[in-house]
Amino acid sequence: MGPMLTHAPTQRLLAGPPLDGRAESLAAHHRRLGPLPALPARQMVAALETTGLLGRGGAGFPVGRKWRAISERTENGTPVVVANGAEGEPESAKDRFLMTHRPHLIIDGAILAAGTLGADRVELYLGREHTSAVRAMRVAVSQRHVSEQKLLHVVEAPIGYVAGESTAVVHYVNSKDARPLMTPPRMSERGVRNRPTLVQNVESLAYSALIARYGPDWFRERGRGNNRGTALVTVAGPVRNEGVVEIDLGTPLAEVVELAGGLTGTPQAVLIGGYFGTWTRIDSAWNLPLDPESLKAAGLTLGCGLVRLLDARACGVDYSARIMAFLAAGSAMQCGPCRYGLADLASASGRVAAMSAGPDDLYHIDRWTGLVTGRGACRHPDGAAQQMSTAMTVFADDFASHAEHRRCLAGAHVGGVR
Amino acid sequence: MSDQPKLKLKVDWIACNGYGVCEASAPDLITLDDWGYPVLPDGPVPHGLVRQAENAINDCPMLALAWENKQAATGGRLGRLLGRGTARRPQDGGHR
Repeated sequence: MGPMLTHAPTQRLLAGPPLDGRAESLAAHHRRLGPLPALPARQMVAALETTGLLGRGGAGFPVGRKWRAISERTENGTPVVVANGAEGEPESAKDRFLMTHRPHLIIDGAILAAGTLGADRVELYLGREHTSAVRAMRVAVSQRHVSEQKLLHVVEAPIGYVAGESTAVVHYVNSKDARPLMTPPRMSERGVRNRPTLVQNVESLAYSALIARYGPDWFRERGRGNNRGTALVTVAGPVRNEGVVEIDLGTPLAEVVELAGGLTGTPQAVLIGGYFGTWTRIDSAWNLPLDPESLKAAGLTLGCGLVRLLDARACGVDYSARIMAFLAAGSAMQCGPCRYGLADLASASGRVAAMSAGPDDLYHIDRWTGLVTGRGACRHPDGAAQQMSTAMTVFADDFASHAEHRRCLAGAHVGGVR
Repeated sequence: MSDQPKLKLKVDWIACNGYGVCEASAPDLITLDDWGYPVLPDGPVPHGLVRQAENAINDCPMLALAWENKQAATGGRLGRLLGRGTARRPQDGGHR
Protein backbone atom coordinates (compact mmCIF):
# COMPACT_ATOMS: atom_id res chain seq x y z
CA MET A 1 0.00 0.00 0.00
CA GLY A 2 1.42 3.38 -1.01
CA PRO A 3 1.50 6.28 1.35
CA MET A 4 -1.25 8.18 -0.47
CA LEU A 5 -3.74 5.37 0.05
CA THR A 6 -3.25 5.56 3.79
CA HIS A 7 -4.97 8.92 3.80
CA ALA A 8 -7.79 7.90 1.51
CA PRO A 9 -10.68 6.89 3.77
CA THR A 10 -11.48 10.24 5.36
CA GLN A 11 -10.08 13.17 3.54
CA ARG A 12 -11.78 16.45 4.06
CA LEU A 13 -9.18 18.90 5.25
CA LEU A 14 -6.58 17.01 3.22
CA ALA A 15 -8.74 16.37 0.15
CA GLY A 16 -7.42 17.71 -3.16
CA PRO A 17 -4.05 17.44 -4.89
CA PRO A 18 -1.29 15.09 -3.69
CA LEU A 19 0.28 15.85 -0.33
CA ASP A 20 3.78 16.05 -1.73
CA GLY A 21 5.05 19.20 -0.07
CA ARG A 22 3.53 21.58 -2.61
CA ALA A 23 0.75 24.00 -1.76
CA GLU A 24 -2.56 24.00 -3.57
CA SER A 25 -2.71 27.19 -5.64
CA LEU A 26 -5.54 29.68 -5.42
CA ALA A 27 -6.79 28.67 -8.88
CA ALA A 28 -6.83 24.98 -7.97
CA HIS A 29 -8.45 25.77 -4.64
CA HIS A 30 -11.25 27.71 -6.35
CA ARG A 31 -11.73 25.05 -9.02
CA ARG A 32 -12.06 22.38 -6.34
CA LEU A 33 -14.16 24.16 -3.73
CA GLY A 34 -15.69 27.18 -5.42
CA PRO A 35 -15.92 30.57 -3.79
CA LEU A 36 -16.51 31.07 -0.09
CA PRO A 37 -20.26 31.65 0.30
CA ALA A 38 -21.37 34.87 1.97
CA LEU A 39 -23.52 33.67 4.86
CA PRO A 40 -25.26 35.96 7.34
CA ALA A 41 -23.20 36.09 10.53
CA ARG A 42 -25.97 34.65 12.67
CA GLN A 43 -26.38 31.69 10.35
CA MET A 44 -22.64 30.99 10.29
CA VAL A 45 -22.29 31.06 14.07
CA ALA A 46 -25.36 28.84 14.42
CA ALA A 47 -23.92 26.39 11.87
CA LEU A 48 -20.67 26.14 13.83
CA GLU A 49 -22.58 25.58 17.06
CA THR A 50 -24.64 22.83 15.43
CA THR A 51 -21.54 20.98 14.31
CA GLY A 52 -20.10 20.84 17.82
CA LEU A 53 -16.68 21.51 16.29
CA LEU A 54 -14.04 21.79 19.02
CA GLY A 55 -10.93 23.94 18.69
CA ARG A 56 -7.91 22.00 17.45
CA GLY A 57 -5.16 23.96 19.15
CA GLY A 58 -5.11 21.70 22.18
CA ALA A 59 -7.63 23.11 24.64
CA GLY A 60 -10.67 21.87 22.69
CA PHE A 61 -12.94 24.86 23.33
CA PRO A 62 -16.16 24.85 21.22
CA VAL A 63 -15.54 26.97 18.12
CA GLY A 64 -19.15 28.15 17.76
CA ARG A 65 -19.25 29.42 21.33
CA LYS A 66 -16.02 31.34 20.81
CA TRP A 67 -17.34 33.03 17.66
CA ARG A 68 -20.65 33.82 19.34
CA ALA A 69 -18.96 35.52 22.29
CA ILE A 70 -17.25 37.94 19.90
CA SER A 71 -20.14 38.37 17.48
CA GLU A 72 -22.32 39.53 20.37
CA ARG A 73 -19.82 42.09 21.67
CA THR A 74 -20.38 45.73 20.93
CA GLU A 75 -17.68 47.28 23.15
CA ASN A 76 -13.96 47.83 22.66
CA GLY A 77 -14.05 48.47 18.95
CA THR A 78 -13.75 46.39 15.82
CA PRO A 79 -12.74 42.76 16.40
CA VAL A 80 -9.48 41.16 15.25
CA VAL A 81 -8.95 37.57 14.07
CA VAL A 82 -5.73 35.70 14.82
CA ALA A 83 -5.10 32.47 12.90
CA ASN A 84 -2.81 30.56 15.24
CA GLY A 85 -0.33 28.41 13.32
CA ALA A 86 2.49 28.54 15.88
CA GLU A 87 2.77 24.82 16.46
CA GLY A 88 5.23 24.67 19.33
CA GLU A 89 4.86 20.92 19.84
CA PRO A 90 8.09 19.42 18.51
CA GLU A 91 6.50 16.11 17.50
CA SER A 92 3.21 17.50 16.23
CA ALA A 93 3.18 18.35 12.54
CA LYS A 94 -0.48 18.71 11.62
CA ASP A 95 -0.69 22.51 11.61
CA ARG A 96 2.47 23.01 9.55
CA PHE A 97 1.36 20.15 7.26
CA LEU A 98 -2.00 21.81 6.63
CA MET A 99 -0.42 25.26 6.10
CA THR A 100 2.12 23.77 3.69
CA HIS A 101 -0.46 21.95 1.56
CA ARG A 102 -3.78 23.80 1.98
CA PRO A 103 -2.94 27.42 2.83
CA HIS A 104 -5.96 28.81 0.98
CA LEU A 105 -8.39 26.73 3.00
CA ILE A 106 -6.93 28.27 6.18
CA ILE A 107 -7.02 31.76 4.70
CA ASP A 108 -10.64 31.15 3.65
CA GLY A 109 -11.42 30.30 7.26
CA ALA A 110 -9.69 33.41 8.55
CA ILE A 111 -11.52 35.63 6.04
CA LEU A 112 -14.76 33.88 6.92
CA ALA A 113 -14.18 34.55 10.62
CA ALA A 114 -13.38 38.19 9.89
CA GLY A 115 -16.54 38.59 7.82
CA THR A 116 -18.71 36.83 10.38
CA LEU A 117 -17.35 38.80 13.34
CA GLY A 118 -17.00 42.13 11.56
CA ALA A 119 -13.22 42.12 12.00
CA ASP A 120 -11.09 44.47 9.90
CA ARG A 121 -7.79 42.72 10.54
CA VAL A 122 -6.48 39.14 10.35
CA GLU A 123 -3.15 38.22 11.89
CA LEU A 124 -1.68 35.02 10.47
CA TYR A 125 0.52 34.02 13.42
CA LEU A 126 3.04 31.47 12.16
CA GLY A 127 5.96 29.66 13.76
CA ARG A 128 9.15 31.14 12.35
CA GLU A 129 10.93 27.77 12.43
CA HIS A 130 8.39 26.12 10.11
CA THR A 131 9.88 27.64 6.99
CA SER A 132 7.93 25.69 4.37
CA ALA A 133 4.63 26.48 6.10
CA VAL A 134 5.54 30.17 6.35
CA ARG A 135 6.54 30.24 2.68
CA ALA A 136 3.31 28.55 1.57
CA MET A 137 1.20 30.97 3.60
CA ARG A 138 3.07 34.02 2.32
CA VAL A 139 2.72 32.87 -1.29
CA ALA A 140 -0.97 32.15 -0.72
CA VAL A 141 -1.54 35.64 0.67
CA SER A 142 0.18 37.12 -2.39
CA GLN A 143 -2.21 35.18 -4.66
CA ARG A 144 -5.23 36.75 -3.01
CA HIS A 145 -7.14 39.75 -4.30
CA VAL A 146 -5.75 43.11 -3.16
CA SER A 147 -8.82 43.75 -1.02
CA GLU A 148 -8.10 40.54 0.90
CA GLN A 149 -4.39 41.19 1.10
CA LYS A 150 -5.15 44.41 2.96
CA LEU A 151 -6.93 42.35 5.59
CA LEU A 152 -4.21 39.72 6.01
CA HIS A 153 -1.04 40.31 8.03
CA VAL A 154 1.61 37.62 8.43
CA VAL A 155 3.31 37.63 11.84
CA GLU A 156 6.26 35.32 12.31
CA ALA A 157 6.29 34.10 15.89
CA PRO A 158 9.53 33.44 17.74
CA ILE A 159 10.57 29.86 18.33
CA GLY A 160 9.31 28.51 21.60
CA TYR A 161 6.90 26.10 23.17
CA VAL A 162 4.75 28.71 24.90
CA ALA A 163 4.74 31.19 21.99
CA GLY A 164 1.57 29.56 20.67
CA GLU A 165 -0.31 29.86 23.96
CA SER A 166 -3.21 32.19 23.23
CA THR A 167 -2.35 34.99 25.69
CA ALA A 168 1.26 34.82 24.47
CA VAL A 169 0.00 35.15 20.90
CA VAL A 170 -1.89 38.33 21.70
CA HIS A 171 1.02 39.61 23.78
CA TYR A 172 3.42 39.12 20.87
CA VAL A 173 1.15 40.73 18.29
CA ASN A 174 0.70 43.70 20.63
CA SER A 175 4.21 44.16 21.96
CA LYS A 176 6.60 41.60 20.42
CA ASP A 177 6.80 39.66 23.69
CA ALA A 178 5.66 36.06 23.22
CA ARG A 179 5.21 35.32 26.91
CA PRO A 180 1.85 34.49 28.44
CA LEU A 181 -0.02 37.12 30.42
CA MET A 182 -1.49 36.72 33.89
CA THR A 183 -5.28 36.73 34.10
CA PRO A 184 -5.86 38.93 31.09
CA PRO A 185 -9.38 40.03 30.46
CA ARG A 186 -11.14 37.57 28.17
CA MET A 187 -9.66 37.88 24.72
CA SER A 188 -13.18 37.92 23.31
CA GLU A 189 -13.35 41.28 25.11
CA ARG A 190 -9.82 42.67 24.91
CA GLY A 191 -7.00 41.14 22.94
CA VAL A 192 -5.01 42.54 20.04
CA ARG A 193 -4.88 46.34 20.40
CA ASN A 194 -7.39 45.94 23.22
CA ARG A 195 -10.03 44.94 20.71
CA PRO A 196 -12.23 41.82 20.88
CA THR A 197 -10.02 39.05 19.48
CA LEU A 198 -10.63 35.58 18.13
CA VAL A 199 -7.52 33.42 18.51
CA GLN A 200 -8.26 30.27 16.54
CA ASN A 201 -6.06 27.37 15.51
CA VAL A 202 -5.49 27.05 11.74
CA GLU A 203 -7.11 23.60 11.52
CA SER A 204 -10.27 24.91 13.19
CA LEU A 205 -10.38 27.82 10.72
CA ALA A 206 -9.90 25.51 7.74
CA TYR A 207 -12.76 23.35 8.96
CA SER A 208 -14.97 26.42 9.40
CA ALA A 209 -14.38 27.26 5.72
CA LEU A 210 -15.64 23.80 4.75
CA ILE A 211 -18.66 24.06 7.04
CA ALA A 212 -19.56 27.41 5.42
CA ARG A 213 -19.62 25.63 2.04
CA TYR A 214 -21.26 22.34 2.93
CA GLY A 215 -23.22 22.98 6.13
CA PRO A 216 -23.45 21.35 9.55
CA ASP A 217 -25.28 18.24 8.31
CA TRP A 218 -22.40 17.44 6.00
CA PHE A 219 -19.98 17.92 8.91
CA ARG A 220 -21.90 15.43 11.01
CA GLU A 221 -21.86 12.72 8.35
CA ARG A 222 -18.44 11.66 9.55
CA GLY A 223 -17.20 10.58 12.94
CA ARG A 224 -17.75 7.48 15.03
CA GLY A 225 -19.60 6.92 18.26
CA ASN A 226 -20.95 10.15 19.66
CA ASN A 227 -18.33 12.22 17.95
CA ARG A 228 -18.80 14.10 14.74
CA GLY A 229 -16.33 15.19 12.13
CA THR A 230 -12.73 14.39 11.34
CA ALA A 231 -9.46 15.62 12.78
CA LEU A 232 -5.81 15.77 11.86
CA VAL A 233 -3.50 13.72 14.04
CA THR A 234 0.26 13.22 13.95
CA VAL A 235 1.39 9.62 14.36
CA ALA A 236 4.98 9.12 15.53
CA GLY A 237 6.98 6.08 16.57
CA PRO A 238 7.31 2.56 15.13
CA VAL A 239 4.86 2.87 12.20
CA ARG A 240 5.54 2.63 8.47
CA ASN A 241 4.48 6.18 7.56
CA GLU A 242 5.12 8.55 10.42
CA GLY A 243 3.26 11.79 9.88
CA VAL A 244 -0.13 13.41 9.60
CA VAL A 245 -3.35 11.51 8.93
CA GLU A 246 -6.95 12.66 8.93
CA ILE A 247 -9.18 10.42 11.01
CA ASP A 248 -12.85 10.17 11.79
CA LEU A 249 -13.11 11.26 15.40
CA GLY A 250 -13.70 8.16 17.49
CA THR A 251 -11.43 5.91 15.40
CA PRO A 252 -9.67 3.39 17.67
CA LEU A 253 -5.92 3.76 18.06
CA ALA A 254 -5.35 0.39 16.35
CA GLU A 255 -6.98 1.69 13.16
CA VAL A 256 -5.15 4.99 13.34
CA VAL A 257 -1.91 3.02 13.42
CA GLU A 258 -3.09 1.14 10.30
CA LEU A 259 -3.78 4.48 8.58
CA ALA A 260 -0.16 5.33 9.28
CA GLY A 261 0.94 2.18 7.49
CA GLY A 262 0.91 -0.25 10.40
CA LEU A 263 3.45 -1.15 13.05
CA THR A 264 7.12 -1.69 12.32
CA GLY A 265 8.01 -2.46 15.92
CA THR A 266 6.48 -3.41 19.24
CA PRO A 267 5.12 -0.43 21.13
CA GLN A 268 4.91 -0.56 24.92
CA ALA A 269 3.08 2.72 25.54
CA VAL A 270 1.61 5.74 23.81
CA LEU A 271 1.73 9.45 24.57
CA ILE A 272 -1.50 11.05 23.40
CA GLY A 273 -2.03 14.80 23.11
CA GLY A 274 1.50 16.18 22.90
CA TYR A 275 4.17 16.98 25.47
CA PHE A 276 1.37 18.23 27.76
CA GLY A 277 -0.42 14.95 27.14
CA THR A 278 -0.89 11.64 28.86
CA TRP A 279 0.92 8.30 28.72
CA THR A 280 -1.01 5.04 28.57
CA ARG A 281 0.07 1.42 28.34
CA ILE A 282 -0.38 0.19 24.79
CA ASP A 283 -2.69 -2.69 25.80
CA SER A 284 -5.18 -0.34 27.48
CA ALA A 285 -4.95 2.21 24.65
CA TRP A 286 -5.05 -0.10 21.65
CA ASN A 287 -8.84 -0.19 21.24
CA LEU A 288 -9.46 3.23 22.69
CA PRO A 289 -11.44 5.57 20.39
CA LEU A 290 -9.52 8.75 19.67
CA ASP A 291 -11.90 11.59 20.38
CA PRO A 292 -12.05 14.19 23.15
CA GLU A 293 -14.91 12.56 25.08
CA SER A 294 -13.68 8.98 25.09
CA LEU A 295 -10.19 10.07 26.02
CA LYS A 296 -11.45 12.31 28.79
CA ALA A 297 -13.47 9.42 30.21
CA ALA A 298 -10.24 7.41 30.29
CA GLY A 299 -8.40 10.24 32.04
CA LEU A 300 -6.56 11.18 28.86
CA THR A 301 -6.58 14.10 26.44
CA LEU A 302 -6.54 14.48 22.66
CA GLY A 303 -4.73 17.82 23.01
CA CYS A 304 -2.99 18.75 19.77
CA GLY A 305 -3.64 15.31 18.27
CA LEU A 306 -0.17 13.81 18.73
CA VAL A 307 -0.11 10.01 18.93
CA ARG A 308 3.43 9.08 19.98
CA LEU A 309 4.05 5.34 20.22
CA LEU A 310 7.05 4.29 22.30
CA ASP A 311 8.83 1.15 21.20
CA ALA A 312 9.36 -1.54 23.83
CA ARG A 313 13.11 -1.23 23.28
CA ALA A 314 13.02 2.46 24.16
CA CYS A 315 13.20 3.68 27.74
CA GLY A 316 10.04 5.42 28.96
CA VAL A 317 11.91 6.93 31.90
CA ASP A 318 14.46 8.50 29.60
CA TYR A 319 11.84 9.65 27.11
CA SER A 320 9.65 11.35 29.70
CA ALA A 321 12.70 12.92 31.39
CA ARG A 322 13.80 14.39 28.05
CA ILE A 323 10.34 15.87 27.51
CA MET A 324 10.51 17.29 31.03
CA ALA A 325 13.86 18.90 30.25
CA PHE A 326 12.46 20.35 27.03
CA LEU A 327 9.43 21.79 28.82
CA ALA A 328 11.55 23.18 31.67
CA ALA A 329 13.73 24.98 29.13
CA GLY A 330 10.55 26.12 27.37
CA SER A 331 9.18 27.86 30.45
CA ALA A 332 8.70 31.58 29.90
CA MET A 333 10.51 31.94 33.28
CA GLN A 334 7.88 34.34 34.54
CA CYS A 335 6.28 32.35 37.34
CA GLY A 336 8.33 30.86 40.19
CA PRO A 337 6.72 27.41 40.51
CA CYS A 338 7.09 26.85 36.73
CA ARG A 339 10.59 28.28 36.46
CA TYR A 340 12.11 26.51 39.46
CA GLY A 341 9.70 23.59 39.79
CA LEU A 342 10.07 22.36 36.22
CA ALA A 343 13.84 22.79 36.44
CA ASP A 344 13.94 20.63 39.58
CA LEU A 345 11.61 18.08 38.00
CA ALA A 346 13.87 17.93 34.95
CA SER A 347 16.99 17.48 37.10
CA ALA A 348 15.46 14.78 39.28
CA SER A 349 13.93 12.82 36.41
CA GLY A 350 17.18 13.22 34.47
CA ARG A 351 19.09 11.67 37.37
CA VAL A 352 16.66 8.74 37.52
CA ALA A 353 16.97 8.24 33.77
CA ALA A 354 20.77 8.30 34.01
CA MET A 355 20.83 5.73 36.86
CA SER A 356 22.13 8.29 39.30
CA ALA A 357 18.97 8.97 41.31
CA GLY A 358 19.24 10.40 44.79
CA PRO A 359 17.31 8.63 47.55
CA ASP A 360 14.42 11.10 47.48
CA ASP A 361 14.20 11.82 43.75
CA LEU A 362 11.16 9.65 43.02
CA TYR A 363 9.37 11.03 46.07
CA HIS A 364 10.14 14.59 44.98
CA ILE A 365 9.07 14.04 41.38
CA ASP A 366 5.76 12.73 42.61
CA ARG A 367 5.29 15.62 45.03
CA TRP A 368 6.48 18.39 42.72
CA THR A 369 4.16 17.39 39.86
CA GLY A 370 1.30 18.08 42.28
CA LEU A 371 2.93 21.24 43.59
CA VAL A 372 3.43 23.04 40.26
CA THR A 373 -0.06 22.27 38.94
CA GLY A 374 -2.40 25.25 38.75
CA ARG A 375 0.25 27.69 39.94
CA GLY A 376 1.18 29.73 36.88
CA ALA A 377 -0.15 32.41 34.56
CA CYS A 378 -0.73 29.79 31.87
CA ARG A 379 -1.08 26.02 31.99
CA HIS A 380 2.49 25.21 30.98
CA PRO A 381 3.37 23.77 34.42
CA ASP A 382 0.09 21.82 34.49
CA GLY A 383 0.81 20.20 31.15
CA ALA A 384 4.40 19.40 32.03
CA ALA A 385 3.29 17.82 35.30
CA GLN A 386 0.61 15.78 33.56
CA GLN A 387 3.11 14.24 31.16
CA MET A 388 5.48 13.44 34.03
CA SER A 389 2.94 12.00 36.44
CA THR A 390 1.33 9.75 33.83
CA ALA A 391 4.81 8.55 32.83
CA MET A 392 5.48 7.71 36.50
CA THR A 393 2.34 5.56 36.50
CA VAL A 394 2.78 3.85 33.14
CA PHE A 395 6.52 3.26 33.56
CA ALA A 396 6.30 2.67 37.32
CA ASP A 397 8.39 -0.53 37.30
CA ASP A 398 11.03 1.07 35.14
CA PHE A 399 11.24 4.21 37.30
CA ALA A 400 11.64 2.02 40.39
CA SER A 401 14.25 -0.19 38.71
CA HIS A 402 16.20 2.84 37.53
CA ALA A 403 16.16 4.44 40.96
CA GLU A 404 16.69 1.39 43.17
CA HIS A 405 18.66 -1.10 41.08
CA ARG A 406 20.29 1.28 38.58
CA ARG A 407 18.95 -0.97 35.86
CA CYS A 408 16.87 -0.11 32.81
CA LEU A 409 13.99 -2.43 31.90
CA ALA A 410 13.68 -1.21 28.30
CA GLY A 411 13.33 -4.18 26.01
CA ALA A 412 12.74 -6.58 28.93
CA HIS A 413 9.11 -6.94 27.94
CA VAL A 414 9.54 -7.32 24.19
CA GLY A 415 7.20 -10.06 23.10
CA GLY A 416 5.15 -9.65 26.23
CA VAL A 417 3.10 -6.92 24.68
CA ARG A 418 1.39 -6.72 21.37
CA MET B 1 -19.58 39.11 58.15
CA SER B 2 -22.33 36.54 57.67
CA ASP B 3 -23.48 38.20 54.45
CA GLN B 4 -19.98 37.97 53.00
CA PRO B 5 -19.60 35.76 49.96
CA LYS B 6 -16.80 33.23 50.10
CA LEU B 7 -13.44 34.99 50.11
CA LYS B 8 -10.67 33.31 48.17
CA LEU B 9 -7.12 34.47 47.66
CA LYS B 10 -5.29 34.48 44.36
CA VAL B 11 -1.67 35.05 43.40
CA ASP B 12 -0.45 36.92 40.34
CA TRP B 13 2.29 34.41 39.55
CA ILE B 14 4.08 36.71 37.14
CA ALA B 15 4.31 39.48 39.73
CA CYS B 16 5.22 37.20 42.67
CA ASN B 17 8.95 37.13 43.39
CA GLY B 18 8.79 34.67 46.25
CA TYR B 19 9.85 37.09 48.99
CA GLY B 20 7.68 35.15 51.42
CA VAL B 21 6.30 38.20 53.22
CA CYS B 22 2.79 36.77 52.90
CA GLU B 23 3.74 33.72 54.94
CA ALA B 24 5.04 35.94 57.73
CA SER B 25 1.88 38.05 57.61
CA ALA B 26 -0.52 35.13 57.48
CA PRO B 27 1.29 32.18 59.08
CA ASP B 28 -1.92 30.24 59.75
CA LEU B 29 -3.06 30.58 56.15
CA ILE B 30 -0.09 30.59 53.80
CA THR B 31 2.88 28.25 53.56
CA LEU B 32 5.80 28.42 51.18
CA ASP B 33 6.73 25.73 48.66
CA ASP B 34 10.20 24.30 48.06
CA TRP B 35 11.09 27.35 46.00
CA GLY B 36 9.73 30.01 48.35
CA TYR B 37 6.46 30.68 46.57
CA PRO B 38 3.15 30.81 48.45
CA VAL B 39 0.85 27.82 48.76
CA LEU B 40 -2.67 29.06 49.38
CA PRO B 41 -5.42 27.16 51.16
CA ASP B 42 -7.84 25.25 48.96
CA GLY B 43 -11.17 26.97 49.02
CA PRO B 44 -12.29 30.08 50.86
CA VAL B 45 -10.40 31.73 53.70
CA PRO B 46 -12.00 30.83 57.05
CA HIS B 47 -13.67 33.82 58.70
CA GLY B 48 -11.25 33.82 61.59
CA LEU B 49 -8.30 34.25 59.23
CA VAL B 50 -9.67 37.05 57.04
CA ARG B 51 -7.65 39.64 58.98
CA GLN B 52 -4.45 37.65 58.41
CA ALA B 53 -5.30 37.42 54.73
CA GLU B 54 -5.89 41.17 54.52
CA ASN B 55 -2.53 41.77 56.17
CA ALA B 56 -0.79 39.47 53.71
CA ILE B 57 -2.45 41.24 50.78
CA ASN B 58 -1.40 44.64 52.02
CA ASP B 59 2.12 43.58 53.00
CA CYS B 60 3.06 42.00 49.67
CA PRO B 61 5.83 44.15 48.20
CA MET B 62 4.96 43.02 44.67
CA LEU B 63 1.18 43.58 45.03
CA ALA B 64 0.88 40.00 43.84
CA LEU B 65 -1.71 38.79 46.34
CA ALA B 66 -5.38 39.73 46.07
CA TRP B 67 -8.87 38.53 46.71
CA GLU B 68 -10.14 36.42 43.86
CA ASN B 69 -13.55 38.02 44.22
CA LYS B 70 -12.60 41.68 44.26
CA GLN B 71 -16.13 42.86 44.77
CA ALA B 72 -16.48 40.84 47.92
CA ALA B 73 -13.25 42.26 49.26
CA THR B 74 -13.72 45.93 48.47
CA GLY B 75 -17.32 45.81 49.66
CA GLY B 76 -16.36 43.95 52.83
CA ARG B 77 -17.07 45.55 56.18
CA LEU B 78 -13.66 44.54 57.50
CA GLY B 79 -11.90 46.12 54.57
CA ARG B 80 -13.68 49.41 55.20
CA LEU B 81 -12.99 49.27 58.91
CA LEU B 82 -9.32 48.81 58.19
CA GLY B 83 -9.42 51.54 55.59
CA ARG B 84 -8.03 49.07 53.14
CA GLY B 85 -9.27 47.62 49.93
CA THR B 86 -7.89 45.86 46.95
CA ALA B 87 -9.26 48.31 44.42
CA ARG B 88 -5.90 49.98 43.88
CA ARG B 89 -4.34 46.71 42.87
CA PRO B 90 -3.60 46.72 39.13
CA GLN B 91 -5.15 43.95 37.06
CA ASP B 92 -1.88 42.99 35.50
CA GLY B 93 0.17 42.90 38.66
CA GLY B 94 3.71 44.00 38.13
CA HIS B 95 3.85 42.96 34.53
CA ARG B 96 4.72 45.53 31.92
